[in-house]
Amino acid sequence: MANSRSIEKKDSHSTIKVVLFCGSTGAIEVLEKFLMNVSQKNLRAALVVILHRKTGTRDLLVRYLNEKLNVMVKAIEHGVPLEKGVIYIAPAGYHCMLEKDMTLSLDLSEKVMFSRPSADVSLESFSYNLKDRLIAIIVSGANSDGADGAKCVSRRNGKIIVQNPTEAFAKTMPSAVIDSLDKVDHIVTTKELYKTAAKYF
Amino acid sequence: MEALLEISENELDDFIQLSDKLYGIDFSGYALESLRRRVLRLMQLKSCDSFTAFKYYLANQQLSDEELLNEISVNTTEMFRDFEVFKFLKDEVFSVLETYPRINIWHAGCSTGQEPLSLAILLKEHGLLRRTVQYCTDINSEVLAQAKKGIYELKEMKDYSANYIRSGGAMSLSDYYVANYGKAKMNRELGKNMVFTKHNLINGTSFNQMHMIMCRNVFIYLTTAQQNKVLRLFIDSLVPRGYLILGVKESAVFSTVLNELEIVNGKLKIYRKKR
Repeated sequence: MANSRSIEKKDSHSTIKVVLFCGSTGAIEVLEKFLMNVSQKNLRAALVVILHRKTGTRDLLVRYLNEKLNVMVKAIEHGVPLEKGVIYIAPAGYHCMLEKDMTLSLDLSEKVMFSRPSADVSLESFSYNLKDRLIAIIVSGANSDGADGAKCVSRRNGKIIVQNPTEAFAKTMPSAVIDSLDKVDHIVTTKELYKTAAKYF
Repeated sequence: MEALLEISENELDDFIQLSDKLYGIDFSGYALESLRRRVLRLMQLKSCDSFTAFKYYLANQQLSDEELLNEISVNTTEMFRDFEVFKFLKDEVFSVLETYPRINIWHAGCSTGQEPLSLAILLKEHGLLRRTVQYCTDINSEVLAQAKKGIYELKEMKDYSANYIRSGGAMSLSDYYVANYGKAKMNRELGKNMVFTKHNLINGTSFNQMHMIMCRNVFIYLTTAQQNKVLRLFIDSLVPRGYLILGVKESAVFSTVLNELEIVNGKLKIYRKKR
């Protein structure tokens, strides 16, 4: 019994898809609009949120989203296994990565682009271990963190969806991603972000 | 960033074996993603554009053992980090520690010493410092040397100071250091009962009976198997009912030795040995 369960688990691990939502200044509002579409039933992927936040910010965002949404929202702790239908929020002050066994890991190494968590770090790590099962979303933000990471995602056949910079509160981050790539899979309006991502899971 | 560099799983394995063979450093218990990132960073730092080039670099021993260790391990730390933890220790744990005639505290992976100093300040304010011995260990002798000096950037003191106050500190942080040349030197008194020793958690043994062990943000760099080994070491090093404090984003929940620990505060990752 235990054996068959572990096989089943392993199997779902090798097929799990992940949506990695990255943003900075002005991204919370976009995230909120994005999440209004989410329900336990239609989220057939794990959703991981990487937002630049001030260190010391407590998990207010997690509490707020848990109250508001009909989906499980978890603050990421080191070693937590990814499950589909769950939303994971990266803590301020740590880089967030994905291990080969589909557990999330944290790290306190140097900031990248003045940021920890950094979208570059997460995009690189998630795409390394997920290849084409990663759907990356990059939205509003005031620095170019995410542009290098997006190159890794693209090279490893993941999907890239960018919020149309003209709609972004701060357009540097989405623009930098677009500029860094030969081809972006989708550049869409805020409203279309969820629908576009959902095509892939 | 390392965007254009790649190393495969096999190459990372190669690195682990090479470091062990040539440098005598065993990275096999390290969490893979963090390790892979550190290796990529080091490759970039040494201008190696492929793993083959990097292997050549390592094989020719162009780094000292210390350098390799320092570049791969992460030493980020600060004073009164996660102030809620320090507040909890002060409000709930000190009254227990107080009952011991001599208090042994182990800071496992103390890095540049900010945590032992933070604790020393609070212990002093509660009249416990003079009967406490703080054992400060790290695998990295360079950070230990810095910890011994107790000299930090003055500009960091501003953040530390805010967290000191939020921890419930009774004075002003500036009462505990002397500022000069853009640096802050912590008062000698705080470090008087600190013992600094090089100790490797990967293969180290127990060296005393501790009333409290602080090991925050070390487990995030270890594999689950290695975490369990270290937890075993900690449990064996604690007195009955001794305290263990892990990082707030770390968790002993996934551990096999969990039944030997009681959760004192799940959010702050404060545990207590059952007996």
